[in-house]
Amino acid sequence: MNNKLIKDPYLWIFLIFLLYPVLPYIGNFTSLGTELLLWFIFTLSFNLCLGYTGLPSFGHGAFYGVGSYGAAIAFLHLFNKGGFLIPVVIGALTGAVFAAVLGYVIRNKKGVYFALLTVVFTQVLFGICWRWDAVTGGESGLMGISRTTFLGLDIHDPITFYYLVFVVFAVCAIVIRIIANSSFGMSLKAIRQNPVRAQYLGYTTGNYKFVVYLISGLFAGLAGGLYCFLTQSAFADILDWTKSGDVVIATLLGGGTVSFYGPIVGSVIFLLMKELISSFWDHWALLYGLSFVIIILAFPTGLLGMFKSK
Amino acid sequence: MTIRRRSLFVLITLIFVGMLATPALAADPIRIGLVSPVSGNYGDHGALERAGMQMALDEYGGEILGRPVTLITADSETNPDAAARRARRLIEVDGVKYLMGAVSSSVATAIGAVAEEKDALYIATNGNSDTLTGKHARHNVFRSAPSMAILVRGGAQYVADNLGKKWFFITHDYSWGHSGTRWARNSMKALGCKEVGEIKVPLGTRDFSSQLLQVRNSGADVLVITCAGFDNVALMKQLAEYKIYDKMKVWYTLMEYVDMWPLDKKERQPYFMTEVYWNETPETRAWTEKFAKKYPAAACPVLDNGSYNGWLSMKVLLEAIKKAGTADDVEKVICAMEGLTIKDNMRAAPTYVRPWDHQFLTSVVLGKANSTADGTDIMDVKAVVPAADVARTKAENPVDVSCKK
Amino acid sequence: MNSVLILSIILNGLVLGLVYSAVALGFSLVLGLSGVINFCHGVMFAFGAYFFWLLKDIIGFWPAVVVVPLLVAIIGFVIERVLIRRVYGLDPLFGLLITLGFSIALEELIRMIFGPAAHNVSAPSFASGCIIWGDFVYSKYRLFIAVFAAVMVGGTWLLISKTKFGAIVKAGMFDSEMVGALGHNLPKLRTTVFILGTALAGLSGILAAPIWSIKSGMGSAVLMPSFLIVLMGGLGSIPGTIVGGLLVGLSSALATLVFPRFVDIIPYVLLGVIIYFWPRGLFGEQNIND
Repeated sequence: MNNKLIKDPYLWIFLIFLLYPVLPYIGNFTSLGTELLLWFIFTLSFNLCLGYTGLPSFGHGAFYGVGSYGAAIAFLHLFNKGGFLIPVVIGALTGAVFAAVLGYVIRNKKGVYFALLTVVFTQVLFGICWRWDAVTGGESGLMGISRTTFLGLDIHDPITFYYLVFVVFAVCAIVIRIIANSSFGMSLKAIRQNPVRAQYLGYTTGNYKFVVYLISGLFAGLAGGLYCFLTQSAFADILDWTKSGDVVIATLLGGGTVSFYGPIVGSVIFLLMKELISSFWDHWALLYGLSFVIIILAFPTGLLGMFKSK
Repeated sequence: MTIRRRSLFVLITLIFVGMLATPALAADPIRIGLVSPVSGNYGDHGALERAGMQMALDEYGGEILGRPVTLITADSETNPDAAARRARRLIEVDGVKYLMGAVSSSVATAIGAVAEEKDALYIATNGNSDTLTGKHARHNVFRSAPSMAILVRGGAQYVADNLGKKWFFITHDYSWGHSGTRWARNSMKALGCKEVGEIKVPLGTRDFSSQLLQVRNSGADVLVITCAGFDNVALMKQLAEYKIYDKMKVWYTLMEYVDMWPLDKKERQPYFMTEVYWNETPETRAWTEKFAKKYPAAACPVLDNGSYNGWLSMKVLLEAIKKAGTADDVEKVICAMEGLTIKDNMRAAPTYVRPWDHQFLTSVVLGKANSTADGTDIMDVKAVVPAADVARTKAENPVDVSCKK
Repeated sequence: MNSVLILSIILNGLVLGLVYSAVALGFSLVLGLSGVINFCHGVMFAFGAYFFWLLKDIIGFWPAVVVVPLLVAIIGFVIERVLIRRVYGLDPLFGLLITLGFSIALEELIRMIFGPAAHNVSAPSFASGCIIWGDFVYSKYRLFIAVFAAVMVGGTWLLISKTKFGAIVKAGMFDSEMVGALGHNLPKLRTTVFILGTALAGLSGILAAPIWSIKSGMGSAVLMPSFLIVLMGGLGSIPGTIVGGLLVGLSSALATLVFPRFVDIIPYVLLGVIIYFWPRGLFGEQNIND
C-alpha cells in the first residue's frame, strides 16, 4: 500500500506545488503559480474530452471565458461587489451551461466538423462578448473585482490565495481522476477507439459525449471563475479560438492522449515556455512556433495514439 | 508513458522553472518596467514608444538622484491578459515600482489595475480612450496621450467652419472608436451641424468597399472617421480607391504618422487630429534629427505620437522622482507628479499633469495630409491647440484620484 | 436607399466573393487533394504580397505575377519536404497543429525581415482609376482582380477534374497503397499539389496587396475565412470553394447594409448553419475526412 502511494504521481505533483511558494526565486512569482494550477484544472478536465473521448474541441476557451465573466458579473451585480464562493460557483455553472448547449448540438458530429463547429461557436461568442459593452465591458473588460476574505482567510494576499486555489486544484484533480478511472471513463475510451463498435455494443455515444462535454465545461468554468479573482478582471480575449488552441496544444504536448497526467506536464511546459522565451528575445514567437512543431514531431506517439485509433 | 519518460518530463519542467528565476539585482538601480507591444502587429508602435523613453533617459544621462535607471521591457502582446501577467511579473519578480507603456487602451486599463493592486506607479503612454482618466481612473495611474475629448474638441470648430456641416461617421466598433464618434457627435450638435449617418466597422475589417459605397451615397460633406491600426491603412487606400475625396472631405479624430507614411502621395488627402508633428517647432525638428541618427531602422523616421508620449512620460516620471527626492516611496512620487508642469516639452505650450484625473495636458494638432510632398514632411499643420482649452471639465468627468482626498 | 447603391453593393459582394475564392483556392486544393489542413496557407499569402512589394518596381507587374508565385512555391516545397510529408494519411488535425505552429514561426520571421509596419503597393497603371457611370463608381482594379480570380479558379478546377493528375492524387487520398502499386509516384504528385497550393496562395497575395495593404498579420486574417469557405463549399470541391467564396462575399457586403456591426461574424454563422444541415458542406463529396 505504501509503495503504491509513493508511485502515485499525484503525491509528487501535490508536494511540488505545496512547496511552490517557498521555492527559490520562482516562488516569488505567485500569480504564475496560481495560474498554472488553474490551467491544470482546465486541461485535466479538457483531456477527458480530448484524450479520453477523442473530441477535438477548439472551443473550450469559451467556457473558461464565460466562467470568468459569470463570476465577474455575479460579483459586481448580484453581490454588489462582495462574495467569493458563490460568484465562483456561478462561474462554474455558466461554463457548464454553455458547454451543455454546445455539447448537445454537436454531440453526433465528429472529426474536423466537430472541431470546426466548436470554433464557430467560440468565435461567435467572442464576437458577442467583445461588442456587448453593457454586460461584458467590451474590449476593456470588467474591472473592480476584489478578493477580500473567505472563511476567515485574507485571500487578498497572493500566497493565501495560491493555497486556496491549491486546495481546489487538489480536490478537482482527484475528482477528475475518479471520473477517468470509472466505468464512465472506460466507456469514453471505448468511444474514442472505435465509435461504431461502441454503438453496436449499445452505447448511445451522443449522450456520453454530451456528458463529458458538460463535465469539462463545468471545470473550465470553475477555473475561469477563479481566474477572474486572480486577475481581478474579466476580458474577452480568452474566448478567442487561439486560446482554445493553446489548451489543445498544452494538453497534447504532455501526451494527454496516453497519460492521464499529460496535461499537467504539458501545461507547465507550455506556460513556462512562453514566459521564458518571451523574456529573453523580442522575436520569441519564432522560437515558440518552432519548439511547438519540434515537440509535436518528437513525441508523436502521444499524438498519434489519439489520431491513429479513429 | 514510461517511468523514464515521465521523469524526463519532470526534469525538463524543473529546469524551465529554474531558468525562469532571475537573479536578484543590486538594490541601487531604479527599475522601470516597460510593458509595450514587442511581438505581434503593433510591435512597431511599441518599438517607437520605447525608443522615445530611451531618448528621454539619455537626456538625463541614464540616471536620476545619483542612481542609475534600468529599463526592463516586457511584451504586452497587445493583449490585456498577457500584459497584466507580465506587469505582475515585473513587480513581483523584478521588483519594479514604476511601469510605463501600452499602445492599446484596454491593455493600459489592465496594467492600471495591476499597478493599483500592487502599489506601483503606472503611466499609460499611448492609449487614448476616455475611460483611462475617467471611469477607470486610478490613484496609481497617469496618462500621457490626450483623451478623445481633447482630440475631437481641438478640431471640431475648424471642421464645422471650413469643411462642411453634414457629417457621416465611420466608427471602429469598440469602445475607443465609440468614444471618438461620441465626442464628435456632441461637438457636431453644439456647432449646429447635422448627422447624415453612421456605420460601425468591426475590428479586423480589411475591406471597406461596401461601407464606402454607402458613404458615397449619403450626401455628406464631411466623413468623420475614428479608426486605427492595420484596418486604417487599408481604409485609407480604399478611400482613394473609391474616390471618396471627390465627393466630400474626410476628417480623422486621430491619425498616426505611421499609418500615413506608407501611403502613395495621391492617397494622402484627409484632415485629421494628431498629438504632435515632428516639424512643429525647432525642438521637435532637432529631436527628430537625433532620433533618426540613433534609430535608423525605426518604423517611423520622425517624431510621432508614440515616441513623443514615451519621451514625455519618461521625462515626467524622472522629474517627479527628482521633485519627490526619492524613488523608493511610490506614494510620494505620485503626489509629486500631480500638478507638475514641464516647460521644455518641445511644444509651444507646457505640459501640465492635472491632479484630479491624472491626465497630462499638452497640445494637439489639427493637420491636413500633404499630397504633393516628397520625403517626411507629409502634412500641413493647420492649428496647434493646447489641451487645457478643450479637456473635459470636472463637471463632465466627475472623478478625483488625487493625493489630497 | 436607392437601387444604384444596392446594385453596387451586390456587385461589390460578387467581386469580393471571387477574391475570397481565389484566396481560399490554394487551401482548398491541398485539403481536397491531399487531406492536409495547411495552416501555413495564410503565411504563403503574406509572402506573395511581400515579395510582390519587393519586386514589382524592379521587374514590373506581369513578370512579378509570374516570378513571385514561383518564389513562394520554393518555400512551399521546403515545407512539404520537411513537415507535410510526415502527415499524409493521418488525421487532418495533426497536420493542422504542425502547420499552425510553423505558421507562428514563419509570421514572426516575416516580422523580423520586413518589420511589423505596413507596406504599400499601388495597383498597376493599366488597371488603376475608376469606371464612373453617373452615380455608379467602381474601381477598375477590383474588376481586374475579379476576372483574374475567375481565371485562377476556373483553371484550377479544370486541372483537378479533367486531368489524369487530379484523378490520381484524389485516388491517393483514399488508398495510397493501391495508387503506388499501380505505378504512380504518389509522393512526387503530392509534392506537386502542395507546391501548387502555395503558389496559388502567393498569387492571391499579389492580387490583394494593392487593395488591402501589406502588414505582417495579413496572413492570419485570411486563414480563417479560407477555412470557413472551403468547409462551406465542401472539402475536395473546387466549385464548392467558388460558391463558398461568393456566399461569404455577398453576405458580408449585404450585411453592411443591414447589420454592419456583425459583418465579421457572418461567415461563422453561415458556416454553422450550412454544416449543420449539409454536414459535408454544400458540394461535399464523401471523402477521407468523414
